[in-house]
Amino acid sequence: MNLPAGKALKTGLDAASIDFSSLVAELSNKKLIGFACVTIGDGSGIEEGVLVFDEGKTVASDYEYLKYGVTLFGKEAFKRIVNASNAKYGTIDVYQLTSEQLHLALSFNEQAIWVPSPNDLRVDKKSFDKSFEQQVIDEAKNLDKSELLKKYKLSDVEEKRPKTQDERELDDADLLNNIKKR
Amino acid sequence: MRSIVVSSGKGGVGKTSISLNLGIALARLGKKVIVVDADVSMANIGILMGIERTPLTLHNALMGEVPVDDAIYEGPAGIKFVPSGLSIARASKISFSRFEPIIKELEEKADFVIIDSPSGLAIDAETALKSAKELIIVAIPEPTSVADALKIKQMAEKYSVKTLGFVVNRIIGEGHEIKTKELASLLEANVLAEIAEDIQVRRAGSSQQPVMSKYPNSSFARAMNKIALDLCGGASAVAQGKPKKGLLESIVDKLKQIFKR
Repeated sequence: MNLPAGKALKTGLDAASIDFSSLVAELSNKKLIGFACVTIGDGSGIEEGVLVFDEGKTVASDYEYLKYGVTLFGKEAFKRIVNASNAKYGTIDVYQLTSEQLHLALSFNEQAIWVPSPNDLRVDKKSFDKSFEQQVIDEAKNLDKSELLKKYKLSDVEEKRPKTQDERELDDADLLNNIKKR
Repeated sequence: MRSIVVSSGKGGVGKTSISLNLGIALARLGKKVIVVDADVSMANIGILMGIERTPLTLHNALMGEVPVDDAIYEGPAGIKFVPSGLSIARASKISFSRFEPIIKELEEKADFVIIDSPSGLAIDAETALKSAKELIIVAIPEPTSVADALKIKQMAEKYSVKTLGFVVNRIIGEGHEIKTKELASLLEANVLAEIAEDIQVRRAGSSQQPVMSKYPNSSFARAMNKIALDLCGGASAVAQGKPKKGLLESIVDKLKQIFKR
């Protein structure tokens, strides 16, 4: 998510020893304008989740798998942030923004805007689940370009680059020469 | 300074609406914008703005009859535009050798030159493409549109025109449509905007007013504002706050935090 740096309130909190649910409740009670950022290294690459608060209310979230260049938003992102909070090797940082910074940031991250119900925010402490990463890997396979070209019967288009005007003229000239030779 | 061609290959995907309204969105951000209607056989930009009297056009400039300055007109929101003529007889006589120097000349006069490309990949579309420094591809989520967009991208690579990304336009949201993620993978390009089929675009067209003026809160207009902001440097360029750390810097910091324990 494209966010201003803001003012660091908490940095380097150990995800494994923090009760994420309590942290979210605390930020909510303190009516935080800002965001909490969870970064973990338990999967096969770095993963980073961001939960954005406006006066303590959750208003946006995203989750990035940096290795795969995949970003998820809203509820799907939140599920993964909760999962990340169960990681063995992870840190949590909390930053404060001004109201203006927050609203500007939201306008540039519309996809991440998410206003959850209390049920959506229920957090059950579990062990870290690697199947979330597997889902991303599976989806990446489905988005493989050569597979998609086959799926939509476009392989031929990809293989044959259209000729430029100059190349077409050269082809025409060759054709004329061949005809003359005959 | 920057010349961006809006191209698709396939017709009817919204190139002209996007060219004109993106131009207006950029102008509203304080940029000097010239929109060029490069569709010499199907000139539409003047019609979309309801501007009827444009006695000198790109046709005249291409034929060497007048300098391009004489074919520049004032449009809405402070944009300038170069219309094409509506005469088919003249269109068939046009030589495109002057097109590239004309675009270079216009680049000196504006922050952004937005070129509305003709459909297809005949000489007019090819000339429009290779005259620009950058390309925005417009596609609709259908295989035929993607096939044409792929050809445009290949041609752009041939001429070293930088692809800024693509706009998926006229999304209906039905299951058979190609998903935006799939389009990004197929075109190997960034998504600049996803725009749902918007009746307000057609209404604005019928009333011959730009969508940005007639329906400034429509999803189409918002998408144009987003692209314009991205082109001007995105949120970090506008925000007063310090931009977030770069990705690499951020990862290194995080790794340090993770492994110091």
